[in-house]
Amino acid sequence: MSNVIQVLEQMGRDASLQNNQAIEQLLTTTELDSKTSQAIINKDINTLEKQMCITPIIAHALHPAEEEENKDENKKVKNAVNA
Amino acid sequence: MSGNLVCVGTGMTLGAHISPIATSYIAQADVVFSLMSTGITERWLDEMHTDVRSLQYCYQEGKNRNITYNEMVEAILTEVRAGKKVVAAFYGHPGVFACVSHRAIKQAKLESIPAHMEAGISAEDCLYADLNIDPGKTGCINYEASQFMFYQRNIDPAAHLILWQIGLAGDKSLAKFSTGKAYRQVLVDLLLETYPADHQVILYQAKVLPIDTVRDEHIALIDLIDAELFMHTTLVIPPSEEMQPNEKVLAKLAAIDKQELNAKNRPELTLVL
Repeated sequence: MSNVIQVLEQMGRDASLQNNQAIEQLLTTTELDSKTSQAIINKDINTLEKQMCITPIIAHALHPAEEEENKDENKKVKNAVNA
Repeated sequence: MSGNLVCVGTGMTLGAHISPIATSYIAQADVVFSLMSTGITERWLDEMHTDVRSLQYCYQEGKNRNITYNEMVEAILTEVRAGKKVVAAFYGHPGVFACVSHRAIKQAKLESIPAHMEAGISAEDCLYADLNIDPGKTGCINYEASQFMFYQRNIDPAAHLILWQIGLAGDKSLAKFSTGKAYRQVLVDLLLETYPADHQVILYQAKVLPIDTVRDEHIALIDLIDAELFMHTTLVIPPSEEMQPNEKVLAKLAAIDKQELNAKNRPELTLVL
C-alpha cells in the first residue's frame, strides 16, 4: 500500500486501526515517505496537505433558508388553505 | 438517452461513513460533482471515479453565496440535461444544511428528469455520538446561527439548542467566510436573554479525517465572544432549566384515563330473552 489516501481510508474503516499503536504498525507496512508517515502519526494535517500538494479548501458554508424561499413556501400554504 | 441525478453523502469522516449505495452510485456514474469540506477528502473522491469535478471553484470571498449555489446547480444540471448519469457528492448528509442538492433535485423534477437523494451521516449524527447527547431525552432544537439571529425564534431552555455555522453568525451579506466579535456579541446578547452568562456551552467540530481530533470544548457562554471559531464550528447549548410539567394537558389526559377505567369497570350487560 503506497497511496496516502488508501492509508487514510483504511484508517477510517478498520476497527483495529483506531489506536496510535496500530496506526504506527500499519505505517511500517506502507511505502509512504517518512515525512508523510510522521505527519499522520502527529495528526499534522497542514504538513500532510503540503506533502500531498493539496490546496486547503477554505469555503464550505451553507446558508440558511432564505427569506424569499420562506415567503414562497408560506404563500403555497396560504393558497392551499384558501382553496 | 435520458440523464438522471442522484445526490449522495460521503459522511463526515473519510473512509468511515460512506454508505455502500453511495459508493455504488459514484462508481456507476458518468460524471461525479463533488463538494467536500477538505482538500484531502476531495482527493479521496477524485480517486473513486475518472471524472470527478469539484464545485469549489464557484466559491469566492465577497461573492453572494446564493449566486455561488445557483452556479453549482447549473453546472450539475447541464450534464444531466446532456443525458448523463450524474452523481453530486456532498460531505456529510447531502440534504442537511445543504441547499445545492435540494435546488438541483427540485429543478430536475420540474424538467421531468429523474432525481433523488441518498442519506448520509451528518455532522449532527456525529455530534450526538461524540458528545454523548440523546436528543430524545430532553429534546433538541437545531438552527443555523444567522437564521436564528435574523428571525424571531423560540428558545426552550429545557432542551438542547444547537447553532450551526457559529463562525458566520450574523452574516446578512452571504458573502463572508467569517464574522467578527461585534456580530458574536449580538448573538451572545440574544442568548443571555435566556441563559446565565456562566452557563457552560460546547464548541463542537466533527472528525473529518481519521487523524482529526473531535473538538469538545466547554466554555462559559460569555466567553463565546473571544473563542476561536471556524466555519465548521458548532455551538451546543445544554439545557439550563428543568422541564416544567404541562398541568393543563396532564389534567386532560388524566380525565381520559379515568373515563377509560370507568368504562372497563362497568358491569357487563347480559342480553335476556
